[in-house]
Amino acid sequence: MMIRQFLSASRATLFSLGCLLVVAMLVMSHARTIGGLRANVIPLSADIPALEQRLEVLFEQLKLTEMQQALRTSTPEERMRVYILPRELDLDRLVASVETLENALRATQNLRAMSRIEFLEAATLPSPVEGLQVHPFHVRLSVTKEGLVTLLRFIDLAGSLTISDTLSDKARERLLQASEAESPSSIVALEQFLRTDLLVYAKDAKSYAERLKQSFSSEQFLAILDGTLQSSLLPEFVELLQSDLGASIASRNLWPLPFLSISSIRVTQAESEWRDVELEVWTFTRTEE
Amino acid sequence: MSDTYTNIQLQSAKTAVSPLLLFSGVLALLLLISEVVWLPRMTRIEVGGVERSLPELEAYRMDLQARIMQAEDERDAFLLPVRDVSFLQAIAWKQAQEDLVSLEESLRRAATKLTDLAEMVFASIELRPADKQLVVKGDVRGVGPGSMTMLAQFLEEVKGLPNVASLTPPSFVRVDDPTIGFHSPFIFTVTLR
Repeated sequence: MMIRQFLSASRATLFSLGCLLVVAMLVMSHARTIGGLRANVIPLSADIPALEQRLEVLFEQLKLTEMQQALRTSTPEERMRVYILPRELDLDRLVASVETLENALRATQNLRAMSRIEFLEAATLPSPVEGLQVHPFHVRLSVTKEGLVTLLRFIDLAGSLTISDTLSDKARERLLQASEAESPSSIVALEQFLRTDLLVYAKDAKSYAERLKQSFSSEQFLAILDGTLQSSLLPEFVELLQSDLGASIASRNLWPLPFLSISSIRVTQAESEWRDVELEVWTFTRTEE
Repeated sequence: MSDTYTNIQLQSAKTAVSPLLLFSGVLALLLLISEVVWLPRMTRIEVGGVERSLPELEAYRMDLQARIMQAEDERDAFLLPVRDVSFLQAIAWKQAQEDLVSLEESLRRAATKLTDLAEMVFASIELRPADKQLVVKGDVRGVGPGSMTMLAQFLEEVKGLPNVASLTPPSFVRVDDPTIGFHSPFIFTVTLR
């Protein structure tokens, strides 16, 4: 009987201890839930309405850009595939482009000599971009400092087609975020501006600037747009396209220029203002459709 | 006698444990009901006219962020006049390359910071954008026997330029030329960021 009583008392004690353990766990769970609530409810209450609003603005912008796409007829993509990054190397167009540059530099007395254009072996060269094949060529020139600047800007320009191509990804992102704050519908005007052909823009940059001011009401957005464009390659490209070189490119139907990029450049100081420039330039063709 | 004493002790223990058992059992039950029924109801928060629990709110926020990223990507794609991936990568690759004219200007500014007496002649500058390498060949003149020191100071200035990752120093030499006096020709390589 004593043993039975002992066992009964032990069981009751154990059960009580078990219940107290459950109580402790539940109290901790309550504390965690309430603590989590206190820590997160304010940030979540602030974040969620802002995110919902942003999503709404983005959907509206998306709808507007989709409508614009449906109305579009011109195709920068096609021009890019034919002239900038063609399937086959367009030697005629490439040599004509370099020759046009040479003529313009000679006309302004910024070039006194240019070597032959020598194409190099391309088969083993790895391409820096997937889907493109490198075609390197070598050329030597004797130019002034101004001639060197024009030469480098020409190579920078070669391969660009629209205003969008003068902006970095970060710059485009900055403009997009500013357009959300301006109004969702401003994206249509921004998109039209960014897809403007560079040569067309250079011919009448002032009226494009006026049209922009009319499309966007916010001074802040216009300031961001102006700052972004000024710090891009656009002003230099416009200056080049507005010069006699730009006029030659247009008159010889060389726009858009084939894609060019410098692989290596050596500039050696010659006598007086002259510099001897040794260039290896890469042009590209597509390996895929 | 001892059996009776033990018996009494056990009886007392059993009597003492009973209230504890009752109390802990009831408390555990109440807390369980609170955890399952009352706490979830009391911790629902209304945001934007909809009541959600904390885990539901966090999941909703993550869902919103994912949908925003997707909408941004779709919108950005529409904005690009040319969406061909190779073309976009080629443009970005070219934009990332350093400009020789700017680099040369940085070098000249670094040289003119040192002294008016020094004549830093840049014989040649070679840039390999894809390798991010710049090779500079030149000469320090017009500072007398201190031309090597001037060269070392110039190299320190170049190392401090923001787009310079590292610099391979040249051999330092001082040559006494009958025409131009003491001078230190150099050739060094800079690795760009």
